[in-house]
Amino acid sequence: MSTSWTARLDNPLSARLRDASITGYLGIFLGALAAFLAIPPIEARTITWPILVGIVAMLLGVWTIARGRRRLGWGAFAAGLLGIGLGILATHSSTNNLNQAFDATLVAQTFGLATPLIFGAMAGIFSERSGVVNIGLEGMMLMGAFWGVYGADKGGTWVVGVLLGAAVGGLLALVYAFFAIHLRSDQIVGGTAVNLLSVGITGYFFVQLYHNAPVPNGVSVLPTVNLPGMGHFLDGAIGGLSILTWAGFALVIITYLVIFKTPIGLRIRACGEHPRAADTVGINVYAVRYCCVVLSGILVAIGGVYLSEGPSGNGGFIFNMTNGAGFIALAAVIFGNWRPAGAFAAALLFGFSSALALRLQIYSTQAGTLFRMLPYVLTLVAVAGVIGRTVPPAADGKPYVRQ
Amino acid sequence: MGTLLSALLFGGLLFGTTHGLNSGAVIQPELASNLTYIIEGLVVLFVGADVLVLWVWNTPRRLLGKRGKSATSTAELPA
Repeated sequence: MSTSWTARLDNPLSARLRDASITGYLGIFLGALAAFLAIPPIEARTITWPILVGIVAMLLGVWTIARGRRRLGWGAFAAGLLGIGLGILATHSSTNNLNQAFDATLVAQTFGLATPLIFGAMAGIFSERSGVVNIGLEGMMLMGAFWGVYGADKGGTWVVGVLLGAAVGGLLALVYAFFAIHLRSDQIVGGTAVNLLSVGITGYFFVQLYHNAPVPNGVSVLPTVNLPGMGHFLDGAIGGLSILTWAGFALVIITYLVIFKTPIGLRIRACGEHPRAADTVGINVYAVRYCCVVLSGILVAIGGVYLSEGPSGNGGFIFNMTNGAGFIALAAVIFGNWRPAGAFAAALLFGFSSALALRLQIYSTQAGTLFRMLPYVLTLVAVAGVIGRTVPPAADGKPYVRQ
Repeated sequence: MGTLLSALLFGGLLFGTTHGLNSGAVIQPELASNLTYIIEGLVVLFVGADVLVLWVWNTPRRLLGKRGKSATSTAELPA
């Protein structure tokens, strides 16, 4: 007995594929693909493919809008449109310039620039999931950057740098936690104070210890993990990443497991969602919050150590060198809806846009400089809730008073 | 009024450390600007912690109250 084609479409898999959220995300993916078709390693030298794939993405966007997922649908539509535009632009560029701008090291640079953001974002997740907003991430990262260099310089090895940076970050976080949890001070004001203090303390000791001059050469820097023999592209992309970049990847998985799959994570989330209920079942809310804030200070400070001791810093410290990375990490937490995978993706997106901005200098210095504002634009987009409705933990930022 | 006064405080602090200490006789000018950040940070930190400020503010009254209570309890003790 033969069935009609409409009846054949009526199976669970097909229904799943026609689901509005699946088509929306597929549209966004195809929009991105439309832009990437014209650049290496695919490098189609005709405008036909970007236009075709972009149109499919836009149609999927329209389908999604028609099924009630307006925001996602418009996102897919915009991604398709943007993909067509970028694809056409890329076909007008010379092959030589494209190969310079979009080689395998772009991936490596993206991971490198995303590493401090990954550490910062995971730190933010621990703190905010327990109910404490940690605006002071920026300052704790800066402390990690300075004391990491100092530790590596005086201790003779990068391990001492990482340990000292993490310890100082944890100590500053403990001070912040005391004010935020015990003294119930406004967490935004407290975080701002931590940021101001960190700028002052690092600047003061930089002048006192190094007389405002560059840190002497020969400071032990973070080692790279060499993975040879993976082929030309992978060798360039992930063959020479820093040890802390790999640690950052592992941290994302560990954070997910701890927060969502262990009893400790359940306690942390309970303190962030309903501290009174957590208290009534015997969870020490203060202790959990103290531990999470101190842990967040340690993690973000390790991100700071990467800034100064990693491939970009190369064992040097510059006054206020974090340059807003802590705030971008906080935006990545919001962008990722307080989930490790989402925050990781956001950190990679911010890292990619920063890496691309550096590469676009090949075409035009002005365009490259203009493109450097992309992470901040994305931060605004994330905070304004354009991507989707983000739901913070219910008691996030609210001091708890034990009855 | 409070905003104006606090703005004047921070303004004075900044001016004092960037212009007033140029001679280097009191403190190195490079250190002075960083000290400003530290002082600002401490001021902001303690302004946010109003519980601590109130606790310190009420300490004399609390101590006096305790002393008065202990004096009363001593007087009430049987001979």
